[in-house]
Amino acid sequence: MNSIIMKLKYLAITATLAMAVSCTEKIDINLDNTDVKVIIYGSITTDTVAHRISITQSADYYSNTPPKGISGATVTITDGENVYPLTESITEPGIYLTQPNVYGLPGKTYTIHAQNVAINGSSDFKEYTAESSIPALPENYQNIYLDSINVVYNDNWDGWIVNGWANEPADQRNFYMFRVYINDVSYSDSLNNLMISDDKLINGSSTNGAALYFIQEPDTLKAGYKVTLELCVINEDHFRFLYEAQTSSQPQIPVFSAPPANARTNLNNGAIGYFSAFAIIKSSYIVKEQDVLLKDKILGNKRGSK
Amino acid sequence: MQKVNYYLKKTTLILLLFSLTTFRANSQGKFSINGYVKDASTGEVLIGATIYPKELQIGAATNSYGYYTLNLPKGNYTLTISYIGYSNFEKNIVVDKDLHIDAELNPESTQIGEVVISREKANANVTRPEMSVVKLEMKKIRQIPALMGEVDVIKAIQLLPGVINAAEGSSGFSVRGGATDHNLILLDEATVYNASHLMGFFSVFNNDAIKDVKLYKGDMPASMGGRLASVLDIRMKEGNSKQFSATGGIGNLSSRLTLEAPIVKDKCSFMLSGRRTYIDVFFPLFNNEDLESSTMYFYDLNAKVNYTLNNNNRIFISGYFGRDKFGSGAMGFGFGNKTFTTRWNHIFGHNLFMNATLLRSNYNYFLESNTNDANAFKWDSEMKETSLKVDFNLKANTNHNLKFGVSTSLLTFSPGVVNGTSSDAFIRHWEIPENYSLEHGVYAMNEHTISKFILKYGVRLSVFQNIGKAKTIILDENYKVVDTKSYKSGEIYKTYINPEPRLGLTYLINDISSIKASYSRSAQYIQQASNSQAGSPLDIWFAASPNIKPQLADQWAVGYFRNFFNNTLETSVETYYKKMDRLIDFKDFASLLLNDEMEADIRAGKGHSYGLELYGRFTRNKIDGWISYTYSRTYRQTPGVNFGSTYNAAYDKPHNLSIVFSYNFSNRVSLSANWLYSTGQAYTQPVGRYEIDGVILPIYSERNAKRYPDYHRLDVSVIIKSKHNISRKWQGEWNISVYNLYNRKNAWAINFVQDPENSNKTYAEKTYLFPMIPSVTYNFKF
Repeated sequence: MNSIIMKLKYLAITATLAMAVSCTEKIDINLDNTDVKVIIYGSITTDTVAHRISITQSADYYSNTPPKGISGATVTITDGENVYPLTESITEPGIYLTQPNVYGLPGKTYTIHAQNVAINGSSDFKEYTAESSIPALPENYQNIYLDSINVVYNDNWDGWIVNGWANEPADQRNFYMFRVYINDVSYSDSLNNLMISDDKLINGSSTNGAALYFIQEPDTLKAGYKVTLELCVINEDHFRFLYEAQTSSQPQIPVFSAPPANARTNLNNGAIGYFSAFAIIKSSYIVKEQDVLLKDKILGNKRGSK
Repeated sequence: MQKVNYYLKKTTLILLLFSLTTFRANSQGKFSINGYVKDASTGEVLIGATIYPKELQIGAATNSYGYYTLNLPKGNYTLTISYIGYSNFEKNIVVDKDLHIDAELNPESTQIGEVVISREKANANVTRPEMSVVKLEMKKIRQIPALMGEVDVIKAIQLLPGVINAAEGSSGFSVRGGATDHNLILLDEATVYNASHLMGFFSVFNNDAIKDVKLYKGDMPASMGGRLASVLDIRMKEGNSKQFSATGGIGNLSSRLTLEAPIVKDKCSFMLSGRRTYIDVFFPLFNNEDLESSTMYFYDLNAKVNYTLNNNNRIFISGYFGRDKFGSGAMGFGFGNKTFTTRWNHIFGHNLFMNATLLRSNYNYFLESNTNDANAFKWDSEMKETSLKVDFNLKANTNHNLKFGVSTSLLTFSPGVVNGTSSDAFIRHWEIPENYSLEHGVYAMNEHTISKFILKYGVRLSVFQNIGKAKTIILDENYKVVDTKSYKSGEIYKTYINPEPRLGLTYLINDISSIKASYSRSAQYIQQASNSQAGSPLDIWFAASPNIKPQLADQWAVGYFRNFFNNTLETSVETYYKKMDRLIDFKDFASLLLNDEMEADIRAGKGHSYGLELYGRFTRNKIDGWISYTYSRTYRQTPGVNFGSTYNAAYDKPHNLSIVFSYNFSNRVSLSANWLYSTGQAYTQPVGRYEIDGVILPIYSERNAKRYPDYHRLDVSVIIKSKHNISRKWQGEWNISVYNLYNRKNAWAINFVQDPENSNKTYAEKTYLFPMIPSVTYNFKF
């Protein structure tokens, strides 16, 4: 379950499979279809921003078009005391946003209500809800988990490792999601670029520079670039959802893969997707000239040895 | 069903008692003939050779140690001993007292056509009181074209009726609807817990070190148990007791060398065999930097020593050691088996044979970082077995052949230990504590001949115990962990007992045809945490426990056996029904590695399988081979899986056809070919899609409801032997083979993927493994 271990496991497999003379080719397979389902996805976090919820609909597997947003829904998020209404984006149909001054608090449970939701072309309006809790954290959590980060080019991985100076609290079970921004632009915009880990193998441990995230390609980072790591403390169910969603988007390898299955959802009434609530702890680093020089030296040595 | 089971159990016990009381009465006026049957050129004992007096319609067969006992009334007989591929042994004997007769049979002359080989008793398949059993001769296995020229026992087994391979190129196999871990794989009686090398593409069995292979698909002898589906009983060579000999081979993938020699002629000999692959030696040639820094190889070592103290005592010590090693710049991975067997054969008086075995078996693997950063770690997993078994075979008289014995094992599981390995480790020590189990068995079984009927009845009583020190989890009805419970060292905290009746009936219609029927129940207490199609070396074994009840299977089978053309064509039709209960399955997205609460991810289900198996094997002067066709269906039902509905099992492939054929052009040149056809593997298709954070996720409907395209493949090989030269000891042979001759791209996996170029597009993609692969192997013997 630990993402680092999983990554390493797949590395070993890839090496082996590269050896087996495996080839792939596209084939035509006719697929059955199923009812169109409502997909609700989004989150509320401890950041003070306009939090984003998307309401879309599922499609036939070979539909080959961007997902269709569902407009006109009434969406709110509540924590039991306050109600935060969401308004639909003018430019992106099906995207609903809170006011930009909204933020979540650790230990609180948030509920999303989406009303007046009907699949495009239908007048069968339905209501969907889901709830999610931000894990309870100590008062000064922003200063406990993550102290600082740096980036180092790694030859074995052909990319940049984001190392963290971090402390793992021993007194609770923690689940983490890591995201990276490069010059304030999300690098983790894809589900498969989220790194997730539980604390099983690192419970209570602290580190002066352990790999927390991985940025592909030597040229992604240049001197002066700002790299921001978000360490997100997520709840167990959310962690399992991410694991399941990532697994179900990855190819089946007969030697290792379990039978495919649908990723879990916390929505009711037949909708799928996930509503999450989590805490974000950030740390930034400006890429130094010597980080890039070190990379060039490693790459140069490698070319030289050829 | 419960009532039927009860009745069967009761009947078994009554019959058993009945047979015991009738022994003494019947044995008057008869004498016992016993001894060993061996190969005259190597001194290897022959397993399953038939011994019979020409004058009478009775006979016996040698057991796994080459030993036989035959009871005859006073008189003069021509004792005949025959074994496929060997000239008959004949001897005139006068029976007026108990006799010990050892026989040495000469392998058939290589000058085919010169000697007419009589095969009067080649109808053993018809008369033997066992069904659902297949035996393959090593000579035959060697002829079958193999992937990369690596002759492989398990791949040959997969060509037999009722046996389905788990995935293309996999060493995993399913027998009559069973899972791959429902097979007990024994090497000199020691369990081999992971029989695969190189992710399953090759098996751990080095053909040169093996003497005999037998697969029990259902009608399991009561002496064996612990698995639901089958027993694959593999025996190593003992070592040439006549003279020094070496066999070996050089192939594309590996080289092999086997040395055998007498230590004391006809008394004591050894066999030492090794194999190593060297594909990694060629990595630099691929001009791929990832491969350059990689290691990848496997090796096997088999060793055996045997010592014949006297006619009544023989000792064998054998062992296997094999390992796979993989490494890339960042990490290393290794796994392997070790087995060690010590056996003592002793004959009490004239008709009681005993074999006592002490064995150890071990399987382990590790994964480790080759770096020294904060994330560096080492992950180890291991399981160990220590067993003691004592088996007796009492040939009480002509009509009774009684087998009984006891066994006990200690199983130790260490599912996973992780340690940070650098001085500045972020990963701390973490482990799933070692846990221990005991598995015991006691059995008795009798083969009872009543004119044209041979009844086989017996029972195995298996006992399984969890023993402390341990900490177990307590689950509620929703599989949530609600509590844990600790047990002291040595405390037995759970015991399961299962009587396993084994019944068989053979009716000899005449010399060339018979009808057989059997019923067997089996219980399985340890299983593999594997939910992938082909299985991986990381799959751990785990034991039954307070949360995990033992798996059970009941199998009923009926068959008709008929030989044609002077026994040169053996045919059989068998049909079976198998009911499986408490089958181990896993919830969706179960976490099976490094999970100390794995039992919460396990679901117990039901399954059933039925099938029809047709088999025809022909052996003529120049042509031999077999045709095997199986129609079978296997279904499973597991709470929480597939919405609780019945689904096609992973190994449900209804039609299976194998044609295996060899033609000898001359003494030097032979051609072999095999063609395989099977229904495509069952798999789950998406019926819709949705998008989350830029990634398209599938929506699945029914599990395993659809199928891959049909699988078929043709392999051929040509064996060219060097000119026979009596003055020269060296015998060489070229084996040129082509795997997948017509280059069919059989699907190994079908995936539904998001187009990397256009993220809105999805398509189906097939992964196939082996295109047409030619290979050349040179084998030698001196």
